[in-house]
Amino acid sequence: MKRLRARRTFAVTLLIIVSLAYLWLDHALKTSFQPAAQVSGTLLFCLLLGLAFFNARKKLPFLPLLKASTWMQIHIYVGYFAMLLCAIHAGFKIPTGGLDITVATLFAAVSLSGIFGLIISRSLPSRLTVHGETLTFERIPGLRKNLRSEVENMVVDSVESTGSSTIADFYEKQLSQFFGRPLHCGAHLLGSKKPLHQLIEKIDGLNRYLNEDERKIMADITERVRSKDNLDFQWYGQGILKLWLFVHIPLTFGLLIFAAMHGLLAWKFT
Amino acid sequence: MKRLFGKFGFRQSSYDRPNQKWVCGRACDGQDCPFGPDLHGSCQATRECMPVKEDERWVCNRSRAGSDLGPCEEGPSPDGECCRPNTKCVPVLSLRAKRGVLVLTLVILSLGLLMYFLSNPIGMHFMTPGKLTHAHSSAQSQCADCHVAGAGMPIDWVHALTGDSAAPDSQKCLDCHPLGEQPLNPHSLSLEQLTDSRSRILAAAGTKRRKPTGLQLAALGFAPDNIREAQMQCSACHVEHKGKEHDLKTLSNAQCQVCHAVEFASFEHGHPPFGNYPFKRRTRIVFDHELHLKLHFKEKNFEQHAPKDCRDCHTMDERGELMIVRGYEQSCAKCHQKDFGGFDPNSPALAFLRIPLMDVESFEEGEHKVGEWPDDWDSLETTLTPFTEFLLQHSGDHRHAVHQMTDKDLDLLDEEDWKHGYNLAWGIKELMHDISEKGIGEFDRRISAALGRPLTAGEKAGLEATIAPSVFKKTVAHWFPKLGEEVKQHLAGESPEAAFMDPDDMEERLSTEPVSLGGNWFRSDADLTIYYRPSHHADPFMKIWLALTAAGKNAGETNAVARLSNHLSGNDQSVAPGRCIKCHTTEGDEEVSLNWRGLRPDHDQHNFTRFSHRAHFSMLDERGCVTCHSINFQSREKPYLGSFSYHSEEDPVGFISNFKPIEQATCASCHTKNMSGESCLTCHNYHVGEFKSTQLKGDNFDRIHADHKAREVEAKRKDIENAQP
Repeated sequence: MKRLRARRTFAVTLLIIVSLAYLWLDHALKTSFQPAAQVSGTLLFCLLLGLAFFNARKKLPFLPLLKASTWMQIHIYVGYFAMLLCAIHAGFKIPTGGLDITVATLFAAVSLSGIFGLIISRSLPSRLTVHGETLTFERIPGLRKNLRSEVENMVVDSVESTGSSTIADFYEKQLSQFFGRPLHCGAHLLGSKKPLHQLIEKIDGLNRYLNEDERKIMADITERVRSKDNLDFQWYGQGILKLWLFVHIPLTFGLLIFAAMHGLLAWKFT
Repeated sequence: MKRLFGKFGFRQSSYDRPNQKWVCGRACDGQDCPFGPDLHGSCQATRECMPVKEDERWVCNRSRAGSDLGPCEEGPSPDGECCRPNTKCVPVLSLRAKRGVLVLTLVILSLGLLMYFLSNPIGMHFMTPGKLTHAHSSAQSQCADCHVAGAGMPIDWVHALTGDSAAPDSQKCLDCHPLGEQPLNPHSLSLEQLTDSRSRILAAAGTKRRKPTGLQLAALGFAPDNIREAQMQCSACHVEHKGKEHDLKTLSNAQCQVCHAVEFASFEHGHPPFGNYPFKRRTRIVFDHELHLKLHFKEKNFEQHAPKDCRDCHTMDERGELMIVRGYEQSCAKCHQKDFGGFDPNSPALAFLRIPLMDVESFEEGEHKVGEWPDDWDSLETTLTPFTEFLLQHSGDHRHAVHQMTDKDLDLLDEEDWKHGYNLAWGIKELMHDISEKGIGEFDRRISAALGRPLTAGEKAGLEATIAPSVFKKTVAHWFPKLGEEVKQHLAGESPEAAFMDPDDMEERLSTEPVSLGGNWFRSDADLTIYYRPSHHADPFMKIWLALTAAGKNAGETNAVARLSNHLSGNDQSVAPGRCIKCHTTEGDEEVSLNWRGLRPDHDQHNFTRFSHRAHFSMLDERGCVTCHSINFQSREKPYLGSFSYHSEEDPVGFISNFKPIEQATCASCHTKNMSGESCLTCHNYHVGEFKSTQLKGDNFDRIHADHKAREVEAKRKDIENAQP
């Protein structure tokens, strides 16, 4: 923990020093009638290429190019610096030209998705671990289907063994949808247990009308409800950990293309 | 207690391949087979296993992974095929592969979008980095108007990515905004001027100066010297495409100072002293404010005409910047009208052409015959008028004679001067003959010869408006009726008969009273002189002759131009009827001009410092203009009038004003960061020199169109070349 804190302190300090140094450099360039925008633009584009190379680095694990975690740290702090550099480059103003707006919007989208990804990749994994059984994302649909079949078999068996359709009716009304597909995305991502508790309350309420055998069956179903809840949590948690990259990475490539065009025109016309 | 879904492991769970492009189509049902799809997305699961041969026997090798099934009971068929066929699935893309597809889609979309914009006129608007300022934007605005690389479709811009366009782009700015001969130099000044200015400022600042820390930091690592020597592109300061309201002239104080020899923290702290500002040079019209205020305005005769307020004599120019002097009629005439005699016959007049009394009898003894010439005529002068001297400069003999006879009594010539006297007499006769016969053209010829340069159209027009050849024709008829014949004989090498003119013998043709010759001209037969009498302020005769001769005012005592100039300018006030130079000063050393009017705004002249009087009127207290312009009580050693001397090489900059220079503290009391601002650009111009602020229409646009046409022709030529096999 100490090491992490020291590393973070060092990185943040370095980021502040580099940022202040660049702010001074930009001021000095502008004051001296040097092409400050070209300098910041070129540097920014190089940084974007470097940041984008992180994705390639992950696909080339055999290359001795530092550890992926080190790359990640560099990616994060260089990303922060790139945001400042972009603001300096745009003169802390919102651009007005079509191409410039596109580049700025793409940059903002990439940056915000990156920050979002950083936040969730720092907070969600620990929550996923403590929430329940950790699962492979790709297996979850299968597990959910198996769980549903299992519960449905239990419900059918309960009708045969108890001669009562109370559990079956309850399943039909309250649980079939729950087991049928992932639910309560927002609640899971926000860490809320309310939907689960509401369902458990309903099950508890049903128990008053059940006999002993039915209660045992219902207890088994309740156990599977909790498992399904964990499945959903894992599904949404892991899903969002993967899905933010569906924004971050494709937009990065779009950004690089539009930024390259912007750079070429700026270089030629300035 | 939470229910566990089972352990994760080679034996306990199925084998996942999330990194592969394709995954089993039944994975979402938890029924994925152990084989998985191939690299191309085809299902490989034809059977549950792929039996292997062990010791000549086929053995089932069904996987245990995830199902605890292992080898089946039936085992493989004798020919080695699994007897448990599998239902084929439709493999699906893995999540990572889907992301790859999305990336590829977006890349193609981005490139397609760019290609569309590059190949379409609408792309020009998309590629434009922002709106132009109001001044530069119009419905017809095209990229090529300001950018060399902006010609054609956007795709052509990409073609033009090679080569340097900065300087040509600046040239396009200069098409509409000319900035003099060195437009891209700092301040549009030459390097010599900049170096000179730097040396002067450094010398004035002394050695005890300290660059502000902020500027030291700002300039650290960059060499201001390079900036001074480099050519600055327009876009270095004027950044367009920043919106309609963007101020193109924005420049920070630090930017102004980064190249400057002496840098300072703010206007309040460290700005160089104003020096004599705004009285950098003497006034164009001589007017001693102190003398008038203290003395003349209190005199009984003028008291009622004395101005009550500065604005009685001064008014703002149309831009509200300069306080200019009102005209003579409004400012001076009430008191000074009497300085001009009008047509009063007693008022002083200028002797233009005179027949001097010469010792022609002696010339005759020396065989130098001059024909008719006055003799024993006591009322005649014995010298030439400066005008006559001036007009005899066209011929070598006459010029030499004038030079030799300067200031000599022509009636008392020694024998060695007889020849010069003879030449002079014939010079005067030829002069009178030529100007009476040939008219104004002869004046032009003789004046050009005297000045050593051809006359301008304006000068010719000025002469024509003030000199009537009839003046001389009429006079010749009275004074020398046989002049034409005599001159003819003289030019033919013959000696006309000597005839001594005597006033007693000439009573019939001479008048005892001055005879008007029209306009301001009159003739006096008593002294055989043609006079011109300036009648009013701004007399055109005085103006044109003063202007013609001003350049030669310091040429020397014997120089005819200088003598005439001095004669006209009031070196001797008694013989300078106009006394123009009493109030009107001269300008320049080589190309001398006369200041007929006070300072007038020249909107093409851009100085380093500017000031708006209009903006400051609300700042005045009860003292009015004196709030800023306090009277400078002069010392005897350096009076205001001592700054003006027509005849000496007086430097117009070495000037003692009637007013004290503006004190910096006066300005700094309001011009602080938090009050009226202290931007350098409030009072200073960057571009200095003489140029029009904006070139409107005219041949520049023709050139733009010509350039455009040339580019089109060049493009066609290239097309033809490319089309040829």
